[in-house]
Amino acid sequence: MDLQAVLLDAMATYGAFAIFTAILLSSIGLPLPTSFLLVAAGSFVTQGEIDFWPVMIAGMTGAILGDHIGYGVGRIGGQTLVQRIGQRFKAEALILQAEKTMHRWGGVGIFFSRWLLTAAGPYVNLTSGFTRYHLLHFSIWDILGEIVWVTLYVQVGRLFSDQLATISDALGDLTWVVLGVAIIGVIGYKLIQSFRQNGTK
Amino acid sequence: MRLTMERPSKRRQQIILLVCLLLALFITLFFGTRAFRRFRDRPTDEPIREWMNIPYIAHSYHIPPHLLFQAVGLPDTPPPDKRPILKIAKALGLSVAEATNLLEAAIAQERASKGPPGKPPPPTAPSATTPVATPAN
Repeated sequence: MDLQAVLLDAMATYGAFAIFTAILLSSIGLPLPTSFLLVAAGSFVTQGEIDFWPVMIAGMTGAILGDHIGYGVGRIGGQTLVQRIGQRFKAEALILQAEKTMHRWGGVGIFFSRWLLTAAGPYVNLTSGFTRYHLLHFSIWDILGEIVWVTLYVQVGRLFSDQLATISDALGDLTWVVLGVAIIGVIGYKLIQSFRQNGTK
Repeated sequence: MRLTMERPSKRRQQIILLVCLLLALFITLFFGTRAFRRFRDRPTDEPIREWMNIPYIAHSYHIPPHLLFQAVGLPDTPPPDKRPILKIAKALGLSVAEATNLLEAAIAQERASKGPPGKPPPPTAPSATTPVATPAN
Protein backbone atom coordinates (compact mmCIF):
# COMPACT_ATOMS: atom_id res chain seq x y z
CA MET A 1 0.00 0.00 0.00
CA ASP A 2 1.44 3.40 -0.87
CA LEU A 3 2.23 5.94 1.84
CA GLN A 4 -0.61 8.29 0.92
CA ALA A 5 -3.13 5.45 1.36
CA VAL A 6 -1.54 4.39 4.68
CA LEU A 7 -1.64 7.94 6.06
CA LEU A 8 -5.21 8.63 4.94
CA ASP A 9 -6.34 5.28 6.35
CA ALA A 10 -4.62 6.10 9.65
CA MET A 11 -6.17 9.58 9.72
CA ALA A 12 -9.64 8.19 8.99
CA THR A 13 -9.23 5.63 11.81
CA TYR A 14 -7.26 7.52 14.48
CA GLY A 15 -8.06 11.15 13.58
CA ALA A 16 -5.82 13.89 14.96
CA PHE A 17 -3.56 11.41 16.77
CA ALA A 18 -2.47 9.98 13.40
CA ILE A 19 -1.71 13.52 12.16
CA PHE A 20 0.36 14.23 15.29
CA THR A 21 2.36 10.98 15.00
CA ALA A 22 3.00 11.24 11.24
CA ILE A 23 4.14 14.86 11.46
CA LEU A 24 6.31 14.17 14.52
CA LEU A 25 8.11 11.32 12.70
CA SER A 26 8.43 13.38 9.53
CA SER A 27 9.95 16.32 11.43
CA ILE A 28 12.56 13.99 12.91
CA GLY A 29 13.49 12.89 9.39
CA LEU A 30 11.21 10.05 8.24
CA PRO A 31 10.21 10.79 4.61
CA LEU A 32 6.41 10.87 4.88
CA PRO A 33 4.07 12.90 2.61
CA THR A 34 2.87 15.10 5.47
CA SER A 35 2.09 18.17 3.33
CA PHE A 36 -0.36 15.96 1.44
CA LEU A 37 -1.70 14.70 4.78
CA LEU A 38 -2.42 18.28 5.92
CA VAL A 39 -4.19 19.10 2.64
CA ALA A 40 -6.22 15.89 3.03
CA ALA A 41 -6.98 16.84 6.64
CA GLY A 42 -8.33 20.17 5.38
CA SER A 43 -10.57 18.28 2.97
CA PHE A 44 -11.74 15.98 5.81
CA VAL A 45 -12.59 19.10 7.85
CA THR A 46 -14.80 20.40 5.02
CA GLN A 47 -16.45 16.99 4.71
CA GLY A 48 -17.20 17.04 8.45
CA GLU A 49 -15.11 13.90 9.06
CA ILE A 50 -12.78 15.58 11.53
CA ASP A 51 -12.81 18.84 13.54
CA PHE A 52 -10.67 21.84 12.57
CA TRP A 53 -8.93 22.64 15.86
CA PRO A 54 -7.75 19.10 16.71
CA VAL A 55 -6.14 19.00 13.25
CA MET A 56 -4.40 22.33 13.77
CA ILE A 57 -3.22 21.52 17.30
CA ALA A 58 -2.06 18.00 16.35
CA GLY A 59 -0.22 19.32 13.28
CA MET A 60 1.53 22.14 15.11
CA THR A 61 2.48 20.23 18.27
CA GLY A 62 3.72 17.22 16.26
CA ALA A 63 5.86 19.45 14.05
CA ILE A 64 7.26 21.61 16.85
CA LEU A 65 8.03 18.62 19.09
CA GLY A 66 9.68 16.72 16.20
CA ASP A 67 11.79 19.74 15.27
CA HIS A 68 13.00 20.14 18.85
CA ILE A 69 13.89 16.44 19.06
CA GLY A 70 15.97 16.92 15.87
CA TYR A 71 17.59 20.01 17.39
CA GLY A 72 18.35 18.09 20.60
CA VAL A 73 19.90 15.18 18.72
CA GLY A 74 22.10 17.62 16.79
CA ARG A 75 23.08 19.50 19.94
CA ILE A 76 23.84 16.47 22.11
CA GLY A 77 25.21 13.97 19.60
CA GLY A 78 26.18 16.17 16.69
CA GLN A 79 28.82 18.29 18.39
CA THR A 80 31.10 15.33 19.19
CA LEU A 81 30.60 13.86 15.74
CA VAL A 82 31.32 17.18 14.01
CA GLN A 83 34.49 17.71 16.08
CA ARG A 84 35.74 14.26 15.11
CA ILE A 85 34.96 14.82 11.42
CA GLY A 86 36.61 18.23 11.59
CA GLN A 87 39.81 16.80 13.08
CA ARG A 88 39.92 13.77 10.80
CA PHE A 89 39.35 15.66 7.53
CA LYS A 90 41.02 18.90 8.67
CA ALA A 91 37.76 20.74 8.06
CA GLU A 92 37.66 22.88 11.20
CA ALA A 93 37.61 26.10 9.13
CA LEU A 94 34.69 24.83 7.07
CA ILE A 95 32.74 23.89 10.20
CA LEU A 96 33.48 27.28 11.74
CA GLN A 97 32.16 28.90 8.55
CA ALA A 98 28.98 26.76 8.77
CA GLU A 99 28.49 27.89 12.36
CA LYS A 100 28.97 31.54 11.40
CA THR A 101 26.48 31.20 8.53
CA MET A 102 23.98 29.48 10.84
CA HIS A 103 24.24 32.27 13.41
CA ARG A 104 23.87 34.94 10.73
CA TRP A 105 21.11 33.41 8.56
CA GLY A 106 19.79 30.68 10.88
CA GLY A 107 16.49 32.34 11.74
CA VAL A 108 15.50 32.91 8.11
CA GLY A 109 16.61 29.39 7.19
CA ILE A 110 14.65 27.83 10.05
CA PHE A 111 11.51 29.84 9.22
CA PHE A 112 11.46 29.07 5.49
CA SER A 113 12.44 25.41 5.90
CA ARG A 114 9.31 24.94 8.04
CA TRP A 115 6.79 25.75 5.34
CA LEU A 116 8.44 26.58 2.00
CA LEU A 117 11.39 24.19 1.67
CA THR A 118 9.99 21.52 3.97
CA ALA A 119 12.32 18.77 2.72
CA ALA A 120 15.25 20.67 4.27
CA GLY A 121 13.54 20.91 7.68
CA PRO A 122 15.07 17.86 9.45
CA TYR A 123 18.60 18.81 8.28
CA VAL A 124 18.16 22.39 9.44
CA ASN A 125 17.07 21.07 12.86
CA LEU A 126 20.22 18.96 13.17
CA THR A 127 22.46 21.77 11.89
CA SER A 128 20.88 24.24 14.33
CA GLY A 129 21.62 21.80 17.15
CA PHE A 130 25.22 21.00 16.37
CA THR A 131 26.12 24.62 15.62
CA ARG A 132 24.59 25.49 19.01
CA TYR A 133 22.13 27.95 17.53
CA HIS A 134 20.34 29.72 20.39
CA LEU A 135 17.48 27.46 21.55
CA LEU A 136 15.04 30.28 22.24
CA HIS A 137 15.64 31.82 18.79
CA PHE A 138 15.28 28.37 17.21
CA SER A 139 11.98 27.84 19.06
CA ILE A 140 10.55 31.23 18.03
CA TRP A 141 11.39 30.82 14.31
CA ASP A 142 10.27 27.19 14.42
CA ILE A 143 6.89 27.93 16.00
CA LEU A 144 6.23 30.80 13.56
CA GLY A 145 7.16 28.66 10.56
CA GLU A 146 5.10 25.67 11.67
CA ILE A 147 2.04 27.85 12.28
CA VAL A 148 2.35 29.11 8.69
CA TRP A 149 2.87 25.57 7.31
CA VAL A 150 -0.06 23.89 9.09
CA THR A 151 -2.46 26.81 8.53
CA LEU A 152 -1.56 27.21 4.85
CA TYR A 153 -1.86 23.55 3.89
CA VAL A 154 -5.02 22.87 5.91
CA GLN A 155 -6.67 25.95 4.39
CA VAL A 156 -5.67 24.86 0.86
CA GLY A 157 -7.26 21.49 1.64
CA ARG A 158 -10.43 23.16 2.86
CA LEU A 159 -10.58 25.40 -0.21
CA PHE A 160 -10.05 22.59 -2.74
CA SER A 161 -11.61 19.84 -0.66
CA ASP A 162 -12.98 17.94 -3.68
CA GLN A 163 -9.74 18.07 -5.70
CA LEU A 164 -7.13 16.48 -3.46
CA ALA A 165 -5.28 14.60 -6.21
CA THR A 166 -4.93 17.68 -8.44
CA ILE A 167 -3.81 19.89 -5.57
CA SER A 168 -1.40 17.26 -4.30
CA ASP A 169 0.23 16.98 -7.76
CA ALA A 170 0.39 20.76 -8.16
CA LEU A 171 1.98 21.14 -4.70
CA GLY A 172 4.57 18.53 -5.66
CA ASP A 173 5.50 20.63 -8.69
CA LEU A 174 5.53 23.83 -6.64
CA THR A 175 8.07 22.29 -4.25
CA TRP A 176 10.45 21.99 -7.22
CA VAL A 177 9.70 25.58 -8.22
CA VAL A 178 10.53 26.86 -4.74
CA LEU A 179 13.71 24.77 -4.66
CA GLY A 180 14.64 26.09 -8.12
CA VAL A 181 14.08 29.71 -7.07
CA ALA A 182 16.20 29.19 -3.93
CA ILE A 183 19.03 27.67 -6.01
CA ILE A 184 18.78 30.51 -8.56
CA GLY A 185 19.05 33.00 -5.69
CA VAL A 186 22.14 31.37 -4.20
CA ILE A 187 23.92 30.85 -7.56
CA GLY A 188 22.97 34.35 -8.72
CA TYR A 189 24.43 35.84 -5.53
CA LYS A 190 27.65 33.81 -5.95
CA LEU A 191 27.95 34.84 -9.61
CA ILE A 192 27.48 38.54 -8.86
CA GLN A 193 30.10 38.28 -6.09
CA SER A 194 32.47 36.50 -8.46
CA PHE A 195 32.05 39.09 -11.28
CA ARG A 196 32.45 41.95 -8.79
CA GLN A 197 35.74 40.45 -7.57
CA ASN A 198 36.87 40.22 -11.21
CA GLY A 199 35.96 43.86 -11.73
CA THR A 200 37.93 45.09 -8.74
CA LYS A 201 41.11 43.19 -9.76
CA MET B 1 52.62 31.61 -10.94
CA ARG B 2 49.91 31.33 -8.34
CA LEU B 3 47.93 34.17 -9.93
CA THR B 4 48.06 32.59 -13.38
CA MET B 5 46.85 29.30 -11.86
CA GLU B 6 43.93 30.98 -10.13
CA ARG B 7 42.52 32.86 -13.11
CA PRO B 8 41.48 29.88 -15.30
CA SER B 9 39.97 28.11 -12.27
CA LYS B 10 37.96 31.25 -11.47
CA ARG B 11 36.71 31.41 -15.07
CA ARG B 12 35.87 27.72 -14.93
CA GLN B 13 34.01 28.24 -11.65
CA GLN B 14 31.96 31.02 -13.25
CA ILE B 15 31.10 28.82 -16.24
CA ILE B 16 30.00 25.99 -13.92
CA LEU B 17 27.88 28.45 -11.93
CA LEU B 18 26.30 29.79 -15.13
CA VAL B 19 25.48 26.26 -16.34
CA CYS B 20 23.94 25.46 -12.93
CA LEU B 21 21.97 28.71 -13.07
CA LEU B 22 20.56 27.84 -16.50
CA LEU B 23 19.72 24.33 -15.32
CA ALA B 24 17.93 25.70 -12.24
CA LEU B 25 16.06 28.19 -14.46
CA PHE B 26 14.98 25.37 -16.78
CA ILE B 27 13.79 23.16 -13.89
CA THR B 28 11.92 26.07 -12.29
CA LEU B 29 10.20 27.03 -15.53
CA PHE B 30 9.34 23.42 -16.36
CA PHE B 31 7.72 22.64 -13.00
CA GLY B 32 6.19 26.11 -12.73
CA THR B 33 4.50 25.76 -16.11
CA ARG B 34 3.37 22.23 -15.28
CA ALA B 35 1.89 23.32 -11.93
CA PHE B 36 0.10 26.23 -13.60
CA ARG B 37 -1.29 23.99 -16.37
CA ARG B 38 -2.34 21.32 -13.90
CA PHE B 39 -4.26 23.93 -11.94
CA ARG B 40 -5.75 25.74 -14.97
CA ASP B 41 -6.80 22.54 -16.76
CA ARG B 42 -7.84 20.66 -13.65
CA PRO B 43 -10.63 18.21 -14.44
CA THR B 44 -14.05 18.61 -12.86
CA ASP B 45 -13.87 14.94 -11.96
CA GLU B 46 -10.63 13.58 -10.56
CA PRO B 47 -9.69 10.07 -11.61
CA ILE B 48 -10.34 7.67 -8.73
CA ARG B 49 -7.06 6.70 -7.03
CA GLU B 50 -6.33 3.83 -4.68
CA TRP B 51 -5.78 6.07 -1.63
CA MET B 52 -9.24 7.67 -1.92
CA ASN B 53 -12.02 6.44 0.36
CA ILE B 54 -15.71 6.28 -0.51
CA PRO B 55 -16.81 9.34 1.52
CA TYR B 56 -14.13 11.40 -0.26
CA ILE B 57 -15.09 10.09 -3.73
CA ALA B 58 -18.72 10.92 -2.97
CA HIS B 59 -17.67 14.42 -1.88
CA SER B 60 -15.44 14.92 -4.92
CA TYR B 61 -18.07 13.72 -7.42
CA HIS B 62 -20.98 15.33 -5.54
CA ILE B 63 -22.80 12.00 -5.26
CA PRO B 64 -24.63 10.67 -2.17
CA PRO B 65 -22.19 8.23 -0.48
CA HIS B 66 -24.80 5.49 0.01
CA LEU B 67 -24.96 4.96 -3.76
CA LEU B 68 -21.23 4.26 -3.88
CA PHE B 69 -21.37 1.92 -0.88
CA GLN B 70 -24.21 0.07 -2.61
CA ALA B 71 -22.19 -0.13 -5.83
CA VAL B 72 -19.41 -2.13 -4.17
CA GLY B 73 -21.81 -4.10 -1.99
CA LEU B 74 -20.96 -2.49 1.35
CA PRO B 75 -23.55 -1.47 3.96
CA ASP B 76 -24.00 2.27 4.47
CA THR B 77 -24.37 2.09 8.23
CA PRO B 78 -22.76 4.59 10.60
CA PRO B 79 -19.90 4.96 11.16
CA PRO B 80 -19.15 5.06 7.42
CA ASP B 81 -16.44 2.81 6.02
CA LYS B 82 -13.43 5.10 5.55
CA ARG B 83 -10.95 2.53 4.28
CA PRO B 84 -9.12 3.46 1.06
CA ILE B 85 -10.30 1.81 -2.17
CA LEU B 86 -7.17 -0.33 -2.15
CA LYS B 87 -8.18 -1.98 1.14
CA ILE B 88 -11.85 -2.27 0.21
CA ALA B 89 -11.01 -3.93 -3.11
CA LYS B 90 -8.69 -6.39 -1.37
CA ALA B 91 -11.32 -7.25 1.25
CA LEU B 92 -13.92 -7.82 -1.49
CA GLY B 93 -11.55 -9.94 -3.59
CA LEU B 94 -11.51 -7.36 -6.39
CA SER B 95 -8.71 -5.52 -8.13
CA VAL B 96 -8.53 -1.74 -7.66
CA ALA B 97 -9.52 -1.33 -11.33
CA GLU B 98 -12.63 -3.50 -10.85
CA ALA B 99 -13.69 -1.59 -7.74
CA THR B 100 -13.08 1.70 -9.57
CA ASN B 101 -15.21 0.52 -12.50
CA LEU B 102 -18.09 -0.31 -10.16
CA LEU B 103 -17.89 3.14 -8.56
CA GLU B 104 -17.63 4.94 -11.92
CA ALA B 105 -20.64 3.02 -13.23
CA ALA B 106 -22.67 4.06 -10.17
CA ILE B 107 -21.59 7.69 -10.61
CA ALA B 108 -22.51 7.64 -14.32
CA GLN B 109 -25.89 6.10 -13.53
CA GLU B 110 -26.67 8.67 -10.84
CA ARG B 111 -25.68 11.54 -13.10
CA ALA B 112 -27.69 10.18 -16.01
CA SER B 113 -30.75 10.15 -13.77
CA LYS B 114 -30.07 13.67 -12.41
CA GLY B 115 -28.86 15.47 -15.53
CA PRO B 116 -25.44 17.08 -16.19
CA PRO B 117 -22.98 17.35 -13.29
CA GLY B 118 -22.61 20.60 -11.44
CA LYS B 119 -20.83 22.05 -8.46
CA PRO B 120 -22.66 21.91 -5.14
CA PRO B 121 -24.00 25.15 -3.70
CA PRO B 122 -21.51 27.21 -1.64
CA PRO B 123 -21.60 26.47 2.11
CA THR B 124 -23.56 29.60 3.02
CA ALA B 125 -26.95 29.88 4.62
CA PRO B 126 -29.70 29.61 1.98
CA SER B 127 -31.62 32.81 1.38
CA ALA B 128 -35.38 33.01 1.69
CA THR B 129 -35.87 33.65 -2.03
CA THR B 130 -33.61 30.92 -3.43
CA PRO B 131 -34.31 27.52 -1.94
CA VAL B 132 -31.21 25.31 -1.98
CA ALA B 133 -31.35 21.55 -1.80
CA THR B 134 -29.29 20.10 1.04
CA PRO B 135 -27.17 17.11 0.03
CA ALA B 136 -27.90 13.85 1.79
CA ASN B 137 -25.20 12.63 4.21
